[in-house]
Amino acid sequence: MNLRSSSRRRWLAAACCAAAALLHAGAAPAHDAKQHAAAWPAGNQYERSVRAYTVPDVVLFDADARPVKLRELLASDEPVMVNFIFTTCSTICPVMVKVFADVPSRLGAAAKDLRMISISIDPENDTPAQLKSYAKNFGEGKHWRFLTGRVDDIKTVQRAFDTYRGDKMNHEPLTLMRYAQGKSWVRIDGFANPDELAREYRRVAVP
Amino acid sequence: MGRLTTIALIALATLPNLAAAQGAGAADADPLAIGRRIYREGILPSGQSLQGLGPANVTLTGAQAACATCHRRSGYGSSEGPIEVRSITGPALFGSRVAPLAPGSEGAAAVATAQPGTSPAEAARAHAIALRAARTAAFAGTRQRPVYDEATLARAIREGVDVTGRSMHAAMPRYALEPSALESLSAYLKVLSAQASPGVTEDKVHFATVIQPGVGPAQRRALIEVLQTYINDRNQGLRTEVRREEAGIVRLKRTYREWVLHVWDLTGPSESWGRQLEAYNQRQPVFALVSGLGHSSWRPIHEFSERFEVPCILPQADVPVLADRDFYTVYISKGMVLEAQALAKFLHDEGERGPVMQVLRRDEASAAGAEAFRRAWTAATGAAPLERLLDEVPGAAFWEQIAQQTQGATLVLWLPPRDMAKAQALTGAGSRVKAIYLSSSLNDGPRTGLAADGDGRVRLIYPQDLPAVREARLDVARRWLRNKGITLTDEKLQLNAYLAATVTGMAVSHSIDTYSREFLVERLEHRLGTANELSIYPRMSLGPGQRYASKGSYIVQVGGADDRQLKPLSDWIVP
Repeated sequence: MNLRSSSRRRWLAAACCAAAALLHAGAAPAHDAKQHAAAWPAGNQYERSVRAYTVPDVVLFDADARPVKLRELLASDEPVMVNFIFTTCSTICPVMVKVFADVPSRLGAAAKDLRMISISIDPENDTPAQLKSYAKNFGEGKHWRFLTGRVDDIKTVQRAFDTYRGDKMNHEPLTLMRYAQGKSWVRIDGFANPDELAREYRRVAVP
Repeated sequence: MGRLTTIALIALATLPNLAAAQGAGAADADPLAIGRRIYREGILPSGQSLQGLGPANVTLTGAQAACATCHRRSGYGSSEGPIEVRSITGPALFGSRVAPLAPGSEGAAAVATAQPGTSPAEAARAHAIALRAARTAAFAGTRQRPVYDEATLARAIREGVDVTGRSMHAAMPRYALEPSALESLSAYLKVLSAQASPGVTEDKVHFATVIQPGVGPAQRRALIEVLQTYINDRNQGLRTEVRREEAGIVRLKRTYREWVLHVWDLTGPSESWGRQLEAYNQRQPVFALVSGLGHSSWRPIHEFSERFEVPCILPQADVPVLADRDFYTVYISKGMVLEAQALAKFLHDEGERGPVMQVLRRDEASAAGAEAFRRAWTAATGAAPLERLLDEVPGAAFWEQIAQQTQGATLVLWLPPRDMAKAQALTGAGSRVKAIYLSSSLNDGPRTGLAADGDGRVRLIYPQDLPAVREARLDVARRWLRNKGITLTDEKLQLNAYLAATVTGMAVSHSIDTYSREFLVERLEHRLGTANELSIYPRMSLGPGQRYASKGSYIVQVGGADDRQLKPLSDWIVP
């Protein structure tokens, strides 16, 4: 390979190392840079981990501008899936919301009590009205709510779920799921397709 | 290849006209127009939506599937989280050299005709220009991969395999494009950001600031002073860099050019402004419009920007154009509409259910505020506000009548100070008015001509950061102005001008291998949010396709003519 190509491989490897834990399922943190560079382009992998999070005590607003106490919303025993989006996101979010839209159909009856929540990380642009118009394309309703809020509260929520990366353009694909209150959260970093999310959900749902 | 090159060359000469003919039936047969439509809108030659298979088995269609969605209009790409969207400009993909100067611009002829018989001076000049572009491209990293050709490009788009044979990241969709669509798209990609923009010459970049009639001479002077000072300052720094470059000791190569500021004063009725702008642009094309000032609708300038693809960076426009899909104008905020919507939200959330009356006059800013308030209030409460329309400056009798008219009325005055010169009755002892709301934009902040009263009835819609809070943050910006010998006479005006100039400089300094107007706007989309220490707004932010940087407002109680006596009655309201 000529010089330019191996420069690119080194660049990719460096960028890759920064994103390694998030994008490569089961990858160990420290490994050969060459292997890394080879695996990098895929992006269809995700990483699953189990975490404990404390839901912050904030009041968000749904697409009808109704206040929603996040702790109360997440205090029930109904299963939830959560992701973080913003309506002008062009690369990651269109995929995330389409996947979300497809999940209930993959679960069938198992989706009966599932509630999906998409939280905006660009709350000043994503007003309730903006969310309403965006969500129209995806079937927002009782089972799938879009939430926004005050800038500081949204930051608090992102920090609570370890997804705050400063500027919204630094955000990463993330889905969280939890079977019932008091249980741990399953964290899916990366692009999981609807079947994969459904499979992960079934794992979570087994008591 | 030869045919496509010919098409590309013709397109280079006629690109602005091409832009104007966007979407017209006549342009449909043109491969570049077809390619552009696929690229920007995700619409195929047949009129059907482009479909792409994205990551996580998701099918993307139409605009979501369009190349521009991720690679951006300029083609330079972007980055989002862990995903680096690569540049797919003509030079980046095909390795063509960036044409350093737009056809017809000063110096372009020298580059094009470096032939035997050219004088040594001309040849040296042509060589220097060409060298600049090549060196910059080499450092820019847009050529860190082998070049594509038709076959490898088709494979990349259809199969997601890059030019080295490796699978691309799943975020890049796979498209089943017909050969003719691919050919058109390829033709478009070849010319995408492959030429320098108008307004850029061998050693200069031209900018203009647009000033509407109706702007007072002091304001006009203050605006120009800040912009010119910024530019002079920047140009001083450049001279050193050019000498270093000549001495061969510059490590990181940039295209250093001197900035030139033009003032485009508009006169007469707004119907004629479009023509005036075209005439200015014809005489000396500019790379972008920076800041600017106008109390009337910004529409004629907005439309000029869209038509000629000239960015307009943070004009101080009281009546911006509210558009969903336009590209070239980045506004500070929604102006009067923001004020009106914030007030309506405030009153509604506070539970105000009494009578609301607004007073307006027949000028665009006032009317814009009133119309937006009427709409928002009606939507929130089902009832329209009462209204009074002024044709002349009202006397005391008018105000006395208003003060007595309705018990507990909320008054919204979309008026400048001179209209309220005789309005003492409103805040007098016998006034039955509950509260009076004024517009910051139509007044000079708290200098409203309506004296604050002891009952706190005089209030202001205040779409800026509270003075006490922004004091510390703006220290650097204020000190810069002071150090340059500029007296702070109109903080909002001067700081907004400084902001516009600085963020333009910041965005341009990120240029890769050519001066791209689209790239300038895209950099701002991405980076404006980092410029908060230059801004009187608590938080500016943009995103892909967003064009209004500051999105909220306070409602404050006026305590006197001094900013610092403003008392917030609300949080930052985002309507």
